[in-house]
Amino acid sequence: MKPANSSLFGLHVLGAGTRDVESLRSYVRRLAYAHDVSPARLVSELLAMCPLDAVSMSSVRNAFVEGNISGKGDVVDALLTRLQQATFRDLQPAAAQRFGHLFAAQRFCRAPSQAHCPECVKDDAWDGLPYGRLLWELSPITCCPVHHVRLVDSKRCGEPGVVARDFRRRPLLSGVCASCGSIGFACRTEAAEPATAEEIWIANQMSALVALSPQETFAIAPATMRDGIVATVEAAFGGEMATAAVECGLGRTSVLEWVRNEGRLPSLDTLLKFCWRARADLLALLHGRYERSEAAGGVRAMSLAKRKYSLAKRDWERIRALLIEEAEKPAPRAVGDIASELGMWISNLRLNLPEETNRLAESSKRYQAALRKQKYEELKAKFSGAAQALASDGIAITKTNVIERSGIQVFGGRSQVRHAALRDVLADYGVVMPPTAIALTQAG
Amino acid sequence: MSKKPLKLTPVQQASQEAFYDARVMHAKMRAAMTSLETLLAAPSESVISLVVGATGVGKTTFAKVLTRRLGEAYAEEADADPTCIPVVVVQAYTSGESKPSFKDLFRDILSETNPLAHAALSISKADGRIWIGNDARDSVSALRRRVEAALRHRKVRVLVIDEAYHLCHYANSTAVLDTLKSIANTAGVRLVLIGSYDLHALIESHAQVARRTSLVLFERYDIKSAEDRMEWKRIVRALQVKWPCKYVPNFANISDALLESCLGCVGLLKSLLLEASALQLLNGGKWEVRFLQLSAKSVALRDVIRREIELGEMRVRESVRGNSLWDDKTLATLSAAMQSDAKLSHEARQ
Repeated sequence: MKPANSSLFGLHVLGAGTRDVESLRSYVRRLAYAHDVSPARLVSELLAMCPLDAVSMSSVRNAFVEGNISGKGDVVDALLTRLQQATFRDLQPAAAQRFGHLFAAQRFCRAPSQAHCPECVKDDAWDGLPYGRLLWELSPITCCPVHHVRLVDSKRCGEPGVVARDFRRRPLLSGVCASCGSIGFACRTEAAEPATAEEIWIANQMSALVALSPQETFAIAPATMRDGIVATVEAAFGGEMATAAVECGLGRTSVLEWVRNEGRLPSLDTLLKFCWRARADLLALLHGRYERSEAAGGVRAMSLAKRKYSLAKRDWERIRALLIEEAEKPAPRAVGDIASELGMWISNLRLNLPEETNRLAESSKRYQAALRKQKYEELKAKFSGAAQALASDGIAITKTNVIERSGIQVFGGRSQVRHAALRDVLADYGVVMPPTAIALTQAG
Repeated sequence: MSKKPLKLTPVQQASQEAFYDARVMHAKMRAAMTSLETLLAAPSESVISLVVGATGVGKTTFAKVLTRRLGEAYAEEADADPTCIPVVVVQAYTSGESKPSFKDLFRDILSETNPLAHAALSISKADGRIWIGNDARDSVSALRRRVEAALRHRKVRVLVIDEAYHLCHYANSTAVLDTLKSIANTAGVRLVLIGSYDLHALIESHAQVARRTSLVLFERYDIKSAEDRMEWKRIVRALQVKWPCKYVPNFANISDALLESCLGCVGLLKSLLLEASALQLLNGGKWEVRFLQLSAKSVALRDVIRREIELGEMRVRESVRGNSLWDDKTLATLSAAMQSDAKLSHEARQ
């Protein structure tokens, strides 16, 4: 007596309707765990059952590997639809994609990096397996609204002496250390870092947002949000759009663009900056009105300070010196990083200081190339060691065997250096691999 | 010598298949079904129900009817949540391996419940960590853990295992029922094992398991009982109506002879009639009384079956549900005592 339509277990999204609502990434991982398969295999099987027309399998799998499945985009839509068809569950609460009509895609989700609250996962581990919160996936969130501590990087294991498991044996479950498999990151014993008032304020604002049901979220129209922005500018900035933008550390026309241009949506972090500066409640703003939020802490001390227009506009000599100094450092930063620090566009730097900007770009490029070369050599040494070990054990030297023995994951796309190193090691043993997009010479 | 066809025509084949699929609900099956459904209806500690009966009494038909009826009973639940599978039916078997085990049974349960079972990894939780690939992917313990999880996720209410006497070959009886009891408890499932009298051996030796088990006897018809003979005749008539040939022999008039020959087992009757109908069809639809002789079990085979049935009945009769310490006389005394108690408590409440 098989179910007529459903093919996968009908797990429910945890914490739906609360600030602790589960993320889609965590849901997929938990669903895979319930079926005793890897998340990637679950996605593959799901798409084999319900093939996609417009989106290729590789892009879905890449999206999964990148971990961006809680965010926005066609791939997320397709995956969400398939998952809902296969589980007969409403998974909209788990997907940040339900806010897609309100915020721009830029700086929306944290992916591919992952973070978690060290206290929440420990609490969860008392009662079974932890799960990942949607809140943790959103890039502006840096702390937990429950425990008021900073989120920590989920990719770091707390047992430095322990050799990481072979990647095929690493559990992909939210709240579980992928390297050593410890539930609730029990491997990490360092004290949680307390969050600042600003971080807590942002986390609280976002908590109210993610706790909305999908129906409530979809009911918020962009036009209503624009009304809220206008009301906030009136109440907090004397009706001056440009003043509001500058006060919030944004470009002068940013706020005006949000209000008058229907095609331009604010990014989540910039809207939060705006709300923080105006002491405006985010949810009230989205519903078209200004409400003063109960924020604590001083604005000046926070990172959401004004953009440094004075520096960007006037002191070009100082910027020139800064660029020259940076270019001469042994590990120069990228031009984009400097521009960001100065609160300027890269194009503005290139226009006003073309020679210095180009010199820094070249210097930074050389440094990055050297880094890649160094990485290549390290990887090649590891792959060679693995291949030699295989040879001494009398095991065939193949791509799969070398990867498995070395414990180094090799994909296309983001791991071309690894690919090149593996290819060259295999070539020494007469095994041919297809070339990568980036040639080794370029890497070197 | 006239040439006779060795193969049925497509039309004859279809008629014969329709007769093969014909099922008759009869008194003994109804009694066993009611007894089992009562057990399954309310929550109780008796998580395993054994339905035992003679070979050829109609156990496979019983399993099919039970599946349909349970499906109807839980239809509302299944409609409300399409991911639920309230009833799972599997067949135990020995696959010819030198040492049969639970593996095949577990794989069958998983194929009914987990669509990704073929791609499953060995994932376990121990020492506060998640481990992948530490055990063999298809070890009995890994499969069992997967089965328990799948039954829980699919909200399975009843797991029916047909031909359950094969379980006796998997391990010793204590281990078999312990395993099943543990699955039932962990996954919150009621187990129904359907099989021959051999199944009784599973509960003979273990008090803890006996406490959690109920035994339902699927009885055969007794030629000495007038009531049974009448019901048997009704069954014969019901099958006769579905006879696949145009000419229908009057089996109802010889129902007592059929009852004796078939040892009161409806399944054996069905086999006999199926063979007779096939012979009639191959004979161009012309009935000959010798077909009865050819279809009935030989004396020697019938005796083997009879001896096994009588031995089995003797073994299980004491364990059957309802056959308790209290006989009719004691029960009457208890009933009288309870009624006076009831009066007292009613007066106290007043």
